[in-house]
Amino acid sequence: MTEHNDATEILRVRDLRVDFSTTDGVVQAVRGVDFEVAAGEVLAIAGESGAGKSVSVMATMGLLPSNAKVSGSIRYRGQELLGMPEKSLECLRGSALSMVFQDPMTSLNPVMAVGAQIAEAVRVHQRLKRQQATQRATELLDLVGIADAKRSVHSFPHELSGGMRQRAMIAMAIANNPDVLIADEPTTALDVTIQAQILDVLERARQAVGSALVLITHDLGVVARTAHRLLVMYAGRGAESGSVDEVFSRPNHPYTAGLLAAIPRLDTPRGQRLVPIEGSPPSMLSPPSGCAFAPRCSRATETCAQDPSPVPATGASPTHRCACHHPLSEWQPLGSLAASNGKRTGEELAPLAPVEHETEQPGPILAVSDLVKHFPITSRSPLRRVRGAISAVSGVSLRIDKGDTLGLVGESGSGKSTLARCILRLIEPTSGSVKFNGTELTELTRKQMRQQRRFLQVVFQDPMASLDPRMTVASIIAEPLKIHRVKNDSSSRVEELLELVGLYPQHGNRYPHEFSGGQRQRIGIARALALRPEVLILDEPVSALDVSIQAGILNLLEDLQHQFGLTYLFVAHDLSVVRHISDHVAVMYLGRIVEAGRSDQVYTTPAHPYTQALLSAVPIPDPQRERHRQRILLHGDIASPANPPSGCRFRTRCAKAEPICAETQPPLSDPGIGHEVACHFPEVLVGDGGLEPSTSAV
Amino acid sequence: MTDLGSDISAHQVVVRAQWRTVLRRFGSHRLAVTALLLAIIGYAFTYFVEPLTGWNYKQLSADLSQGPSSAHWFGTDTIGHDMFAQSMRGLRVSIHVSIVVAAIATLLGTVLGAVQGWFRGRVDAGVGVLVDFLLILPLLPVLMVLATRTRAIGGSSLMFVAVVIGLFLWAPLARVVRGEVFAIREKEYIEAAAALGASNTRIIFRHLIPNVMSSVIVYATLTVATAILVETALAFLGFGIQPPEVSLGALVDEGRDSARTRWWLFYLPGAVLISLVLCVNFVGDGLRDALDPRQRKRP
Repeated sequence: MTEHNDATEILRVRDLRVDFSTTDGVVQAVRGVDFEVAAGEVLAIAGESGAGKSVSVMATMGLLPSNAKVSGSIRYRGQELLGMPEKSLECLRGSALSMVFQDPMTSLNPVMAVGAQIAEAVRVHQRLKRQQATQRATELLDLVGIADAKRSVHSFPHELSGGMRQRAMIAMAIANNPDVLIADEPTTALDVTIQAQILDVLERARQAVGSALVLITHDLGVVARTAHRLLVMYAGRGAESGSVDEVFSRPNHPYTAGLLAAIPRLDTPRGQRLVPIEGSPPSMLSPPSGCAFAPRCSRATETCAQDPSPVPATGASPTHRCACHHPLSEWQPLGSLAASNGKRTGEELAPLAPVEHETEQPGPILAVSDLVKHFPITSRSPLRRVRGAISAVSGVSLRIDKGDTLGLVGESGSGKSTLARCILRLIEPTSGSVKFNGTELTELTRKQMRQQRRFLQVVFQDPMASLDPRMTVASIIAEPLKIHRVKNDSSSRVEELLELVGLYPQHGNRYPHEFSGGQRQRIGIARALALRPEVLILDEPVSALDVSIQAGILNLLEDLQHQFGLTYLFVAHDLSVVRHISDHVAVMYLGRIVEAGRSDQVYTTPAHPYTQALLSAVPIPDPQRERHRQRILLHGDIASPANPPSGCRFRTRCAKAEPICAETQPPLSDPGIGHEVACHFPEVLVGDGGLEPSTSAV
Repeated sequence: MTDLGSDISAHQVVVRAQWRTVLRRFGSHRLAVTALLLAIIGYAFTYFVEPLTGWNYKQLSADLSQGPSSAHWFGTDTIGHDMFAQSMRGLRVSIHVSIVVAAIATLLGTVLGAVQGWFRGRVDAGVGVLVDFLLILPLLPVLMVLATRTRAIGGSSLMFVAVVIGLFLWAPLARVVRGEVFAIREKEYIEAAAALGASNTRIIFRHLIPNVMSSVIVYATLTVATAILVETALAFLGFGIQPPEVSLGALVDEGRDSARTRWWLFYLPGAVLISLVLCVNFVGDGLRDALDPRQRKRP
């Protein structure tokens, strides 16, 4: 990547500060950020929510709302952009600097054909006839890999899938051959296989027009896969910057090191404990005068909190800068770094042994067989005739043993959440059976089911939406006790539960909105535990949280399982998280399980082409490993559950598909590899998508 | 095990019941407190008019069509009624009527709307027909017919009028609540409550209704104003509350013709009417702020 260091610098940002005046006071979103972008390079800006990464680039584009006050300097090819008249800025925007936004649905105009929008972008900056512009739009759509570009030019945004819309956004962004392409979390709203496609397209498009790319992301895996250089932001300031190799292999800032230690990785087996970063980011209404990370840092000394914030200084390498009073300049193995950062005792850090229970009963605690859920599609006429059905779950069987964790993985639309809700009978299944401790749940009356709910609890994804905003935390946690008329002293039980999940018992009289995301999820877990359940269904419990917080929740779940012998059904789309927490794993695709078995087996020797593609699509936060990974890119999007493909539902995206795949549905069976696969042509890949270094080429 | 400390400090925690928190927040809303006090004082004052001024609303004095004076604070009308006594009596009656109307309409509208939104399907359709029917009925003619038909069984009594108006005014609120419940029922905390085994009744009364309360309160405030207006209109048309009983609406209507010549007959009861409606609105505003913790942060 050295070629980029002496290349021409096209964007230079110095001491950028952005203040928002709000009714609560002045929010100091960005507090002095420096970065520069050289021609043709990929700079990633990483950080957790609220770090100021989006605001920084929006300031660069001059797209901030009027209550923002921007100061500092932003120079594009030597030209100062701050204070430039709006007219001249407009000329640069879209042609020299252009942007790809996070949500492709809201950033495309729904009443304009995609091609017309791209043509419009072209005609704003180039003197072209309408027809020529449309021609150019078609070329661009072709470039970003939209099949049948001639026809797609006339499609409206709602006719395209999320991935296709993001491709169209990229086509629009590169329409005028910009010098700098800014992508703000371009893949966050997308599934992992689509993310892999989009990252690929973004790189291809960038090279086609020869622009530099500023990629904003919270995902260090994406950084490792795509970027040349990295800027880590924390609380409105740059914490560390340098080439990805430098930063990932020798993080100097305790925050960067902490982030790397907090992420569950696809290439580390179960049993390794994550190291959360304690506490939460400071309020930007009154950020601390000293180092903003000091309250969460184990290396912090008195100077950190008192001295003015540290300025970025170079270390061993001239390109590697770190804003810390006590940088981790000496290279240490990541594990020990992590240990020194977490404020945990060594005893707690010990990896957990697999949970063994002497009182293990034979037979599964939860067994689902042939579960089917169809949502009828009704006509809009008053007669509400059934026109068809969305087959969300179609014949799923799974079993969980007591004390085990089953990870249920799948992309959006795979039916995993519907399945979880069917087990709980929050949605009535169309057919099939759910046996819990030998009781058939689907045949119970509402009243009988209510009794069973004591033992079968659930934690939801969104920690804000799953807590009633009108109730205090104590009454939220006490609600299950009231519903089931548990006799013992409920207020002492509530305090006990709060303490159990790591919150102060005195905080029971507060409302959910007074807590941070991670704390709210702890409240949700406390409520689920109130009745001493046997099985917890966790529906994406950490996907709404930042990685440093997520690690704390995952550790808590592990501790609780260990302490109470809980059984988990862990539903998630994040394969790394599932690998970290699960004993067994089941992979779902379009309402069916395609592969299931012990998690170490499924992850190291996947046999279904979908599992293989899924695993290879997950980026690993290690740039060197990312460079040498073999990729399996899936084509197209997940098929519609309203009209699923016959036979094997994956065949439309499968490279191995043969006529038999369209005729018969492959059963879930063990082809002699120790776990079950539903494929006509199962094949174990050695050195698959990067879990182990690719041993040999084919 | 704790991962907080930085953003929540333990020392300022005081154990406080939920309703006390609401009360404390309401208390910090000065305009609302002032308005509430004014309304209460005004209402209580209506019971002290006779001992203070020596007049009650039924009495006729020899002074006809007099302007405001120390004897008659609001003047007198053409047949010698003391307008201050009449206005205060009207204030009391209007408060009674509007509170009964708002209570009935709010209770019916909230519960039926929440039931519609929660159960959907046939229940929704059934109640929906009733709501639509009430919304398309022209309110005044129907009330007039009712008033003439029921005069024999006490059609002009205060309570009867209030109950009848209340039974007609719940439909718009039911629609608002139903719509909000449709949105709230998809929230995960409702699903969480169902997963805990909460009954329908519990979900409706503990989770759905408290979460639509801010709209309900705003709407109840509007209903109070509407009730005063509907009662005014009825009184103007000669239905509803009959003389010698008075209401603010009736007084304003009687004074309307003489607004230019004998201004006190129109403007003074009108001012009382407007003050009443304003007070009610400010109280509703304060209550909304107090009940909705998310909107608490106000400059």
